[in-house]
Amino acid sequence: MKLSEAVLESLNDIDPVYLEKSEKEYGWVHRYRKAGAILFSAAAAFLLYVAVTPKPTTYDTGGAVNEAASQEMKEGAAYDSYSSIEADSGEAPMEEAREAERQVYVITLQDRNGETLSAESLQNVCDMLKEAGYEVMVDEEGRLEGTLSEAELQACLEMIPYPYQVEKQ
Amino acid sequence: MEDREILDLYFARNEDAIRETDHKYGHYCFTVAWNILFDNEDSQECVNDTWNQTWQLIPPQRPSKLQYFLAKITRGFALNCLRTKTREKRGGGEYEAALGELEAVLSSGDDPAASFAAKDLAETINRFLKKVKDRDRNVFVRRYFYMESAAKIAKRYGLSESNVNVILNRVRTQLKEYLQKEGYL
Repeated sequence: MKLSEAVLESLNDIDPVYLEKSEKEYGWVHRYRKAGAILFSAAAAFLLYVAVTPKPTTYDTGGAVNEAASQEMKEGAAYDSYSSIEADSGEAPMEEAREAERQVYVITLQDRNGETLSAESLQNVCDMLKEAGYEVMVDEEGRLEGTLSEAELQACLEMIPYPYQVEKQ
Repeated sequence: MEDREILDLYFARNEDAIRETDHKYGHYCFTVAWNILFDNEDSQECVNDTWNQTWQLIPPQRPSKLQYFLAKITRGFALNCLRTKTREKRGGGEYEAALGELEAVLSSGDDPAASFAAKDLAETINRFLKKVKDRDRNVFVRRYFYMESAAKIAKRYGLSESNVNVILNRVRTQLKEYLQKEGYL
């Protein structure tokens, strides 16, 4: 038997740990897809929400069901002005709420040997997260710093293929 | 069903063990065989042989990782089947390609009939794999244990096909150097 054949044969006695690890590697690639699918679903759900949620109108203001609004409806132009103010004030708090739930997180990454991750690998991770649309950067101490919501943080962590520690600033 | 429960069925000599094994790992084992044989009928036969062999081995054995225990048995049957087929006609899909790649690096120019102590070589390769970087080792394992194509490995790990080929080339060279050091070449 040639050595090459013997090598292929003897791989049948490979340590099962290596077989398992070769499957696990698939796991984190799979998670990228999974994270992508989750983000896509979330985006679709948000767009659906926006599409089906009615904008503040005469009826939303409650004008149709109380006397005060009825009075404004009678005032014609005055009502239009009121309605547009209502519409604006309905959007702003939502945006503010979204901003408010974002916090600054610092993520320290290590390689698989527990050593500090190389600058190049760190930058690769940072670029990957940026491409995915997250607000992250590499800080002066070689850590990832991101302004993220809880959900965004979780999605980011799912994408990071290294051990990590997270601190909330 | 959890592996532990399947193993309990084997130990209870309950034939549902084979049905459950087939249900959980049938496709996986078929893929292991098919990557070597490229033949549906032969691959299915290897899978059936695997279930029979597993029935005989468990008990007394109780593998800690049933999936890889089955993979090794299936791979063994597939290689045997290929050897039989090869005597009649050359050509075994990815196996032939993988063998050719290794031959190109490991050919010693010595007596090709030289025999190798299989167990020693297996231990040597395990020691070698321990030294290889995780990602490179995974690529090597997918190629030479599972006989997956470079394209499939690239897709699995999110690499380019050329990147996979570079990694394989590097590991083959490292393997050659290691085997030289160990006196195999």
